[in-house]
Amino acid sequence: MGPTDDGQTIARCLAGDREAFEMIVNKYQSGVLTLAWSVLGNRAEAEDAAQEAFIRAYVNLQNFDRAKDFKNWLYAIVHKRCLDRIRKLKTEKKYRSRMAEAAAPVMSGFKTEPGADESAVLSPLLKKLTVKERLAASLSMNEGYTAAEIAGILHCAESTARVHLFNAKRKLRKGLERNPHVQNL
Amino acid sequence: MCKIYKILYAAIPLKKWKSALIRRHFERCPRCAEEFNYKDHVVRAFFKPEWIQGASSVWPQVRAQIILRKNEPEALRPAISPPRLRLPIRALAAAISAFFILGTIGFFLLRPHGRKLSGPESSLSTKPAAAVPRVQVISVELGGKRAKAYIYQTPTASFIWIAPSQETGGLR
Amino acid sequence: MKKTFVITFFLGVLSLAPVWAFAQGNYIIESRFFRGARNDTPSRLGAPVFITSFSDPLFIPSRPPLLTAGDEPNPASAMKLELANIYKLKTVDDVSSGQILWDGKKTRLSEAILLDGNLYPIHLFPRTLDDRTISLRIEVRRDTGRDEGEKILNSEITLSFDDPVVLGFPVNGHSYFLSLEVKKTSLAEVGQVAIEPREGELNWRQARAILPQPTFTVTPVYPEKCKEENIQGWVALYVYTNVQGKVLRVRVLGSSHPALAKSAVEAIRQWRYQPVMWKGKPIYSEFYMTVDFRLRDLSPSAEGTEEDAGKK
Repeated sequence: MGPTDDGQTIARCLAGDREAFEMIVNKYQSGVLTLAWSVLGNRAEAEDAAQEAFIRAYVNLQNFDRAKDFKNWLYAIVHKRCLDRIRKLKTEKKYRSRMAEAAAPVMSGFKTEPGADESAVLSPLLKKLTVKERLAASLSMNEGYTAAEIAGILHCAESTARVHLFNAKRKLRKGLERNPHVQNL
Repeated sequence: MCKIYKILYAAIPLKKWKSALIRRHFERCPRCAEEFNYKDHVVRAFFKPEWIQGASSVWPQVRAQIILRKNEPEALRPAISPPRLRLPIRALAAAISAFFILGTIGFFLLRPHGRKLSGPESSLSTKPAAAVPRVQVISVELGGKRAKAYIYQTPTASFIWIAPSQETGGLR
Repeated sequence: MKKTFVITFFLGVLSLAPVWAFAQGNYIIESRFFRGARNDTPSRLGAPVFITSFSDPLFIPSRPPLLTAGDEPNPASAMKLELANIYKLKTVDDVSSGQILWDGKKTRLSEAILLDGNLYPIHLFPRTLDDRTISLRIEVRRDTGRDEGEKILNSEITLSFDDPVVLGFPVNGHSYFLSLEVKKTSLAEVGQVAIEPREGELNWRQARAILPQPTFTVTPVYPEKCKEENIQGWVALYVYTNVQGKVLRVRVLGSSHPALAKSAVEAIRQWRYQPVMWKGKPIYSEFYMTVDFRLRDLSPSAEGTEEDAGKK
């Protein structure tokens, strides 16, 4: 399916065919979830963000410039939703006490309930990256995006996106070298 | 040689210059390129968790919300903000920081000494510190019934003994 | 050009920092609970270990108090001396202590004291009035297993910062004293967080707001070595329970002595709780807990009280 197919689907949606949007959702869901998860690191949050992003996309479909790529537009929405959520989580975290030794992240050693989905949580390796680095790496690896395309999603300069991607790769390499057993996760 | 580039990369502050360095060397040099695509297949696995493959379609939830919101005259902000106005950035930045600085000075100089109070508290804090009572009992109930409060103050603390109304003084 | 903007904006924001520190405000509400008796009753307080749960973040001192017999009088023992003098008490025992962090905004802070097999929830409703005084409503209850429990005390007072207030009240022949002191502190002093909400759980706010009631408790054993060396202390924990009320994990936030911490964790791990209900379903809980180990109370000697008997 190419951009022209998206164009036709979008036209149908704008004409009032709500059910046509289902094709868009099914087509891009996997990519949207991957992106949201790489930013938020939490399955439930990622699913929420994905839903919200699709809803926003639908509601604002008339603002979408059909000459541009729909996927990029959608991913930019996802990115924004995720950032909003992170901001909200940060303010909620603000007033808590901390031990001087609480340098170790809570997730290390924290046991989830038996049977819980381990892969629903970001591995320690990915947690070492910043949000932008994770995003850049995810887009590059999963979507094959170039630095210029990543810049379009992140709303930054191409050089900035390139640096994020490079730093991500460096950190990942270091992480793998230090903890070869992490590959078995 | 590659090591020098790495040191340079760490030392350079600007992203633009770092980016140029990446394009000129790290992406071209075969050794560096190999290094940074180290165990690519392993890394990819981290970015594509299993649960996503098996996740059920979110369309039903999305559809439900779309129907719900369409019935609400909610004014949503556009998903992507409209093109910004072209403002003189430098002037704006200077104005904003001046505002903050003046605001801070003004805040400390002019801040009011306490909010407007009403009721029993209104006698507090408008008086000089010496006359402000250290503690005031507004109301007291013991076991759901009104009780009496007996205050005894020392330099270190205020002790309030609460006794049932019928009794005369309780412990004190 | 963008960089100029960023730098000047940053400077402007930095100049605002002191305003933020004041405006946001962080307070520590030091809460202590004592029990006093006129007579020297033999079985004063049963086990020398006291446990209090808190629904709100605690201030964990970098060196939690470690007391050995014969120590210099600390604020708690000085207060107990004063209580004994003023109210002619033979004994005053520590029951609970904790320093609750208040952001200046939250309207309700809760703790629950376990004493002699009874659970006493205490709710504080603070409100700043101005930069010197604070209004505080205090509710002390006794858990009866029904609703919110029996209301023992309900009082509204105003007090000044850094000026402790001790509310004393009689219950079943004993005198209880709740000491409260509100201190201002800054975010920098307290530090910025990190007890992260659980992954995948969406109702963490409720999980933290309501304290679950324990249905099965195990009193921590006072370590022999600490008993021999007359070591008394305090342990702060963070407890996670699951939807069945089973304790999943106990995390030590601070302690006076590692042996005390170990004993506390081993005991609390075995506790069971009545899960909190939220929208008709049981949910998990997370809360703070302090465990005070007291070998013997630091009450004044009998001579002391008689000396002061003549005074007012």
